[in-house]
Amino acid sequence: MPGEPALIRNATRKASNLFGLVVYLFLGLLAVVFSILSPSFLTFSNLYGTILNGAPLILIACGINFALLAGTIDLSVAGVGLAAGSLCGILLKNFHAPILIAVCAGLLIAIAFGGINSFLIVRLKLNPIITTLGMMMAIRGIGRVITRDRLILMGKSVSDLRQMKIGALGGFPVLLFIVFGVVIISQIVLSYTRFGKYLIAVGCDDKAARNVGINVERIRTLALIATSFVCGVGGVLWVISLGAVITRGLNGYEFLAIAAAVLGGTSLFGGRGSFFPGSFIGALILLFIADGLTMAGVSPYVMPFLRGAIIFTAMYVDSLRVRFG
Amino acid sequence: MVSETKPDSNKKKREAIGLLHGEKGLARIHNRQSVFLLLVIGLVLLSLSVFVPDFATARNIWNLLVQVAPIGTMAFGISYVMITGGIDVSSPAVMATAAVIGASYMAKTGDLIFGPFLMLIVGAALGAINGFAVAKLRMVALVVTLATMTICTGIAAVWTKGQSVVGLSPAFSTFFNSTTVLIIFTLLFLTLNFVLARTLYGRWLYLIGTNQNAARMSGLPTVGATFSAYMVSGVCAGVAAIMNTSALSSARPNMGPDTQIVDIVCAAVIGGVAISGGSGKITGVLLGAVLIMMVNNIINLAGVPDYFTSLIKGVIIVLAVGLDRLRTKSVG
Amino acid sequence: MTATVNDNSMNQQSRPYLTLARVSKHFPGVQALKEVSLDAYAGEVLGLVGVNGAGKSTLMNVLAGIVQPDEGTIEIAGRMVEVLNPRMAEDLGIAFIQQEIQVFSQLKVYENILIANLHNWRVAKHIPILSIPKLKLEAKKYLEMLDCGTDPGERVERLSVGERQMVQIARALSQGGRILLIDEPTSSLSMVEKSILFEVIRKLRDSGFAIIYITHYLDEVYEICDKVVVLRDGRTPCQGKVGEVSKTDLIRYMIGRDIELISQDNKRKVGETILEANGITGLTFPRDVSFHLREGEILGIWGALGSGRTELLRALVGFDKLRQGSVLYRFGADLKTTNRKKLLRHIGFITEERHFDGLFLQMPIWQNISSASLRTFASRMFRIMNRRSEIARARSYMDEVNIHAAGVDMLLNQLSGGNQQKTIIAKWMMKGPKVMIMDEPTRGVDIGAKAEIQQIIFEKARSGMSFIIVSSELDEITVLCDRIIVLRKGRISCELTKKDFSKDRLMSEA
Repeated sequence: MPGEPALIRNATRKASNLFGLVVYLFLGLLAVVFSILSPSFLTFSNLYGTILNGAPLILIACGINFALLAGTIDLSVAGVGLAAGSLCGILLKNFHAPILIAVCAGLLIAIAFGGINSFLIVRLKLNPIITTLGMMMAIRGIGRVITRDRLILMGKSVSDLRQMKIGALGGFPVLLFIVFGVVIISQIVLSYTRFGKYLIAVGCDDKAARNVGINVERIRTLALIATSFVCGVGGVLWVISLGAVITRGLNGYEFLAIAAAVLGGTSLFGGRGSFFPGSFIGALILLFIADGLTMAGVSPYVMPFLRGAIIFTAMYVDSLRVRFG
Repeated sequence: MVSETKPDSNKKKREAIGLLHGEKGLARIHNRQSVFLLLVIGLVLLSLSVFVPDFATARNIWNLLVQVAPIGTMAFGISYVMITGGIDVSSPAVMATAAVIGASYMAKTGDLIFGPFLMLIVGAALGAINGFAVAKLRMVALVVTLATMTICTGIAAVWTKGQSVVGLSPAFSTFFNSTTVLIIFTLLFLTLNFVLARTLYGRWLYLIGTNQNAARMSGLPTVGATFSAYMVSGVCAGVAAIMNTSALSSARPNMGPDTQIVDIVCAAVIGGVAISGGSGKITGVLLGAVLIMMVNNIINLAGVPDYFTSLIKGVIIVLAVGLDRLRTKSVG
Repeated sequence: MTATVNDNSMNQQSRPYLTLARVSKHFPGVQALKEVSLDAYAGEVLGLVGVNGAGKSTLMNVLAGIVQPDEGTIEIAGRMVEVLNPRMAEDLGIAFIQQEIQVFSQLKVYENILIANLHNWRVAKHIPILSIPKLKLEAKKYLEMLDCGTDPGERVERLSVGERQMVQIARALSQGGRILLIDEPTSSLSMVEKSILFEVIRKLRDSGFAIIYITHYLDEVYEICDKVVVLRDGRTPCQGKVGEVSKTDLIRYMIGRDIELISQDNKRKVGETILEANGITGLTFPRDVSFHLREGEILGIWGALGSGRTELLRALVGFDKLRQGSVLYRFGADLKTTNRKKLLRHIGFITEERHFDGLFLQMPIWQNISSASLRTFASRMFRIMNRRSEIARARSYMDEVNIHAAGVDMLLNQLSGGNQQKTIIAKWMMKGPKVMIMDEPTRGVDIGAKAEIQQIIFEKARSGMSFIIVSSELDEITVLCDRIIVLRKGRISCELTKKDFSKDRLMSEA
């Protein structure tokens, strides 16, 4: 770009490359600090408990990452998770459906929501922010309709599932595999498939993408459906690992998911970001903060401020990156 | 069957609107949007009075108006922001935080004079943070206000440990009773409407929302004006905090329904504020707020269970966005 | 009036690879192409030159399948073809390498090059996983064709402009391009990058590609092209071998033998210096530019694309940082060094891209006109706007600049380009600054409005307003201005006063 201050451009480029490193370092820093404050932080059981409990956040963050990479946004992510989980839970508890059917039902409803979102945003070209805000409300409503707004405890059928281990691999619960599986598969799709490349191209510059023959609408539609699908997985996992459906659960996860994605390097303007490490690490950072602060007995005031400060910084860097990079 | 009280209540309603509007009759409402909304409202009122037995009572209408006040106030606030092309989803959360902080202050110290001002100050401060991030740091408005919303919810929850604030002197609610609240609302409406429609500052906001770059090139103080729009939104949230606190005689971290933000945005969008900025009038937003509250009222009276309302509201706002898109397409 | 030189003995083939015959294209308000004919041979570089607005972009868009011609035929390898969309163009082997570099900065080099056909290099036939090694190898093939040593696995955002251009060319090659349309590639390149590019072009030419090279810079025509065709006002008045057309001839064909438009303004008095720039040096452009501007004077800034004109203007009013230099302005009696932001309050600035930062499209005319002078309509207390006065004064300015519209409350997006531009001019006239800076004042404006705008400039200059005008249209700048400074790569290459104006001189100095 002629005339553009080369100095600023180089500095910002260095900064954004550093950003990736900084995120890792920061995670490490958190680990160190928290393990000092409470020695049992870095223990194996604590860590994998954190990840297990944080599975919904990790998955919803991966979900919204698809939408963000494509250059759009989806605020209904947590709602979709909730609705999918609610459906699954109700089927398991009240209808004694087999696990497979219940899970598939949850995933299907998630895909359906993704289809609706993509219709509204891509086909009708409605404003994504407010549309998905409304969808979030509607879908959360549907979730509550499904459960008649009552807490559902799923009891035995689910606790067996939760404890299911794969003996050969040293006793890790299935759920952990599913979480890592989703993250890794998403990353493979991003890095090694044509869809992934097109996704980045569309998020980077949709006009240029059209010029090289990419069907921008189709890519965005697929991205939104992928978003809802992954969130559906997250919701189902959440319900199963909790053993209950909490009708007003996953509150605020919309924002946490965005925060996790941005911390992991995803740009709000599209075209940049990854799943692994990316949003996975971002989610871990948030989980570590929550967990570590609680374990260290720090005043609960600190948490919203600390989170807010970190997220603000990450987003500020992102906005700089777009303006000058 | 047409009840005897129907014409009276309708007339009262129209007078009320005329009164709020500050003009004589419908002659001054030259905005096609507002006329359309009025017609819709009138129609809804008509059918409601017929079909829903409790609706057409004076008491119910009065209650309706009182409920419009806080939602309408917050809707006015975010309209200022939306007109500049931004968005503010933190308004209800800011309101709750201001309410909680102010109420607990008043409960603790019994100082009912500074209390309300404290609420306004908290609202202004949070609005200033939003404004600074969006106007000066040029961050994305959605995410900034989403962040503020989350932080505020967190603060409010921690401040009160999840409980309602107790010990607020009843004198607070006595002073800020329905009449006072409606008076404040009317004054706020008149002021905000006037400032937006007739002053230099209002013109700045419209121009910035239409084309921020052109506004800057024309010499307008874009950073300052955008910043102040977010502060207005924050102060409005503070005012709404006062209204809600007095209605409940207490404050909670989750005051008002979860759907509040959707109600507010709906009111603005239905009332004519374009999501992309640059247009919208406060009179329209008022009517939009009235319409939304009427929908709420209907839902309540019809005995629709709480969990359905989320679904209905969600659908309404998606329809509103569709309406906005049609509107923008036809104009631009 | 076509001078065509046909010299079969020098060509590799006896027939051209690409032939356009009497191609015409009409847009509302303007006939962009009028019976254009040209021949492009394989193994040759055909230069396409013409001034701004001559129709070069339209011609390229026709070939690239982005627009369809109204009349005329296109033949490739002897066969008549229709290029209905970009995909078809690609299938026909036409590759349009646009001026704006369209690469995806977040993807890697090999991904950018092969983006249209990624599925050809999968791990196995029916698996959707791409094989990175195979892709890299294929990409390397094309990079080597261009003698480009860039690592295919590098992320494009790390590449320089020249390297990105190579990626774009490689992409064109990978799509099977045999006819390369290269549009103004050198304006953002350094000298080194330019010579690398030219080497590449020569290599491609020798491999049998038919290359059409569009440029403003006549020197480049002589450096890289074998043949040249001139486009002027949608026609092709001249086509021939580069060795047989002199530069002066070329210029003459580009500009035309039309009578020079008489400057309509001889008796204007010019006052004292009102603005002075000393050694202005920005971060990249401009470099050490100094000039002065007097009251009632119209100063032109001329130069090719990328020479730093817009950067100079932006540096002058403080939108870009200065590394060195100062600006003096006459506040009152004396010239004083000034804070450039303060200067902006006394100066009018009409930008190049009115849709980006000049117009409030969804607002009515009167609000656009008053938008730079709002404070004058606001009451002392409470700043209440006096709408009546605003509308009345807007109406009078509307008449003064002769905006053709039903009323002051028409929305800007309903007006033509010419009327939109006039609205912007009215806006700044209302503000009434002493100095008016205009960047391409009649871009995208029809002939009638053009003349009107030029008249307005003369009138205002007569009443003492000073102008700094940047224009890429030779006719316009020679007619309007009293003096012209010519920029070349950010520096002043010469300064001409009216009596020295000659179009030839201006074209050669740029």
